[in-house]
Amino acid sequence: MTGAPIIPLSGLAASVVFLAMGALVARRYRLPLVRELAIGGARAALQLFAVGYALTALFAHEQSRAALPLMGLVLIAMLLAATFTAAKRVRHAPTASGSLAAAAALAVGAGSVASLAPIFVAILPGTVRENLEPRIVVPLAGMMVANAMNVVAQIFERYFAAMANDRARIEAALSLGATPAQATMHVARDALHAALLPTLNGLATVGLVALPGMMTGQILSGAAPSEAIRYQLVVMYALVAVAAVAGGVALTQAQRLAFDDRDRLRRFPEKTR
Amino acid sequence: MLRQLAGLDPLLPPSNGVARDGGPVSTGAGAEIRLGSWSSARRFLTAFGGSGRTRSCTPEELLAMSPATYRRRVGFVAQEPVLFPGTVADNLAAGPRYRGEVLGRGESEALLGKVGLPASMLLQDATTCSGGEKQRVALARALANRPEVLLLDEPTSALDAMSAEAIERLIATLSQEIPIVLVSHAPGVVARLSASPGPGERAPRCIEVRL
Repeated sequence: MTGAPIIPLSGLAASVVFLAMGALVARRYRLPLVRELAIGGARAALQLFAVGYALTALFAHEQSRAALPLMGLVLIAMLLAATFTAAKRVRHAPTASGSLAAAAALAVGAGSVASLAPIFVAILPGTVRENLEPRIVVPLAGMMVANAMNVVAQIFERYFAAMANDRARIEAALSLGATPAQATMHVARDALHAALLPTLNGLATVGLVALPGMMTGQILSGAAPSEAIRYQLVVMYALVAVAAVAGGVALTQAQRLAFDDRDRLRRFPEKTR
Repeated sequence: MLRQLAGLDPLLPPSNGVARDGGPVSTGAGAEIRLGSWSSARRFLTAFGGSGRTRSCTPEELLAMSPATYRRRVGFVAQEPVLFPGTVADNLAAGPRYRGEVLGRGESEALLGKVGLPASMLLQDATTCSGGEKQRVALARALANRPEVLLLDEPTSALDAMSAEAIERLIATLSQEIPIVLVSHAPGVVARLSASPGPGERAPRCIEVRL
């Protein structure tokens, strides 16, 4: 196994040129993005360095008794970050503090568990205890949680936007005796479809357009492509489960938040940003 | 206020006796009332619960019904009704479909007849209906649920004068069959609807709401 060469720090510094290209094009079209590019670039570097050293430390203690609790901490941090990102940018969202974040946590958590549990229990060869190694758990969990986060954010955004913009139609259905689920079925269906689409497109184009991240990583680190594809396939299938389960739970939660105990559609003023 | 009685907005808390939507309300029976307070809402619910067609029940019992059942029994047509995508027939069948029932073709045609629309409109795309037609389809759609009372929120305010007059006549006719409560801010509507019946007409059914 021969891995790819390590990028020297000078090379890393030179990669800032990519951001400069972005800034140049943005300036040409007078997009006020230069500041955001600088901040985003710096932020990404900071986060990745921090995570890189944290994971190095975690992997170094793989054999110690602290490995499992440490890994648990990493997973909790991941879930929290994903939850607040998913709940943050929703316009027309419930204002009661924490309610949307709690709903997002439930959906992200359910999607992640539904996809990760089968992988560690049945798909990987060893026992669960053997499989729970940080270098396996952290990257897989990261992919699942990230996908769940995107799905939940999109479901919330679409669902609550429709509650505001399609109010008259939903109330017309309610006043004819529809349950909230019946009255918002068209909204739920559209939101779920839109949230699943990227994952489905990924299934259709994988390998044809781009080698996905996990496979790229394994090949760069010297694994045989014929082995890398097995992981990749499991990951892509698992992403479908993440999107479906996180999406389904997000929809139930959104509906619970949008209607009161007498099935009346609540009003959510648009957030001013 | 009508939206609250239709179960779409919370009823005013008992302490709030101040009229919020103090427009005149016609019961289709000559009595002009003002619905704008918790006590008048209570009276409406009492009258509705005790009216001939339903078993007598208190406002509390009415409000304790499942929201879907309550809304089936208390029909509501909004000021500018929204028709669902699909045909006119799809719209008429919506209420029964929510309960897993099927609205037969004969029933659909009878409903259209009741609101003065030709049976040929059944298969028309609902989005192509004019303002007056929309109002009629919405009335028929509400009637398809066989409600025990019909709440109409400013049914003519979004229409031109001619359509408005036609809808008013339709409402007067419908009020022979079903108790109608309507709110209108347009002067004259309530008065005309509350006027005594013409020759050959029965006195409109009314729900006993008096203030």
